[in-house]
Amino acid sequence: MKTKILVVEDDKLVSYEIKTILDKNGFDVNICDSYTNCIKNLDTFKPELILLDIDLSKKYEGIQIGSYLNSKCDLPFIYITGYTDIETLKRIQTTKPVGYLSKPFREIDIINNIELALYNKKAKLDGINGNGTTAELELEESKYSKPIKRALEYIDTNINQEIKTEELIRVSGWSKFHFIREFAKEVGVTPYQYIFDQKMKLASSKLKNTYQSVKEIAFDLGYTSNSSFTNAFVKHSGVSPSHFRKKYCR
Amino acid sequence: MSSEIQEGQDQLREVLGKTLHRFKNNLQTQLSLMNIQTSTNRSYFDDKKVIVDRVFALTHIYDLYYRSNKDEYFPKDSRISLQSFLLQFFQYIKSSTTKIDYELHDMSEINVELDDLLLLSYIIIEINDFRKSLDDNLLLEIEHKEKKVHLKFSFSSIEDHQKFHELFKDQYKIFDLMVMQLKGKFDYKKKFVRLSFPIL
Repeated sequence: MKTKILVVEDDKLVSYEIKTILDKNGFDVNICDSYTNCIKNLDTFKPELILLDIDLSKKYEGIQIGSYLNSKCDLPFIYITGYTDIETLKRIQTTKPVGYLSKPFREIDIINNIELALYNKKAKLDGINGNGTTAELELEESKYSKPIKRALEYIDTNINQEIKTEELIRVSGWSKFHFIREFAKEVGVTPYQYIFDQKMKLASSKLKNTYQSVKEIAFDLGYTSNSSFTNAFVKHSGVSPSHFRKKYCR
Repeated sequence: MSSEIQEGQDQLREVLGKTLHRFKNNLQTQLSLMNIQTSTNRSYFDDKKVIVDRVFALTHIYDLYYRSNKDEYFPKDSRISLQSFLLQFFQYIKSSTTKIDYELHDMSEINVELDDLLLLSYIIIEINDFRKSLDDNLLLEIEHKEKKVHLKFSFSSIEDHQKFHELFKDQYKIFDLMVMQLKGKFDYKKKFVRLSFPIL
């Protein structure tokens, strides 16, 4: 059975091109051009993944759909856009897309992003159905106290930007000293080390599985310069990002 | 004073950001056209010429966009003078052939969205390729009526333009997509084909 992908794009030329690429690669594709049509298609077409243009009708309607998908259902979606400014990226990160495709794009960019998103979705499901039941996962999560859980969720949501300890303290509701001590006790590392490890884990995955440049990855992870990201990566992995990519990519 | 400078810099950054976004979208359109061309078997009479013409259309548009806005203190929209662009673009098209004639009615007051104007130029490039394949003379006429732009075109060797679609139906996909994007429509008359699209 073909994987169903919904393309939400109001530019007829671009949507036709994406449809052609996806048809060629064996996907079942539907196209719609507005918020209303997209919501209708969720019930009628039942997509497994959505490609979403941010600037629908020239009014950021795509982000509205992203927020809806994030809050109402568990459907993965990838944004397509010509925007690469920090403000827009920050806005879209809050809606938790699984990927981001920058215009102009190539066929390989679309397919790689989709494959990665579908792989992650499957791995997530396998994790729930295979390695452990939902109850077991809940048990795993319950080893953290509520304030620490809130802090971990905050880190997860904001991994693409600079995360300040003050913000973590604020969401936990604890005092600074108590939070840092409890975090280290429950998680096993300091908040700073945990954030650093998570960022480097994501960076390694992007270097291995995407064609994003090192500069773009640095930017995606909230680093303000290429060199600060490279230094951090060398500290973590012992090699530079470009050496890491060469080592792991064919 | 320093807050004014800051405000000015913020606005400038916004304009630059919007321009970059628009330009990347336009490049995406160019790539999409090339890919759709392959997937729909749209064979051009002269592939290279079509691509060169599209690149020049893009250049003319941004050139005009820059020139018409550079004296303004932060332009608020991305509309461009239809007449100025068409005069410039027709001059460019005519520089490589004597077989095109055009009539441009007064539209000095009309400004059109940059993206729409680009689509219009790509449509004219398609029509010019049809002309080349027919080795024919082409007459283009453009006018503005009731919030719509009307582009009429006719070929001297075609007696009845009602059969125009039939003649080029295998090469129509790109044409159709661009007209849909413009929210326009075709009327096939005996003497000409007319494309009308709204000015939003």
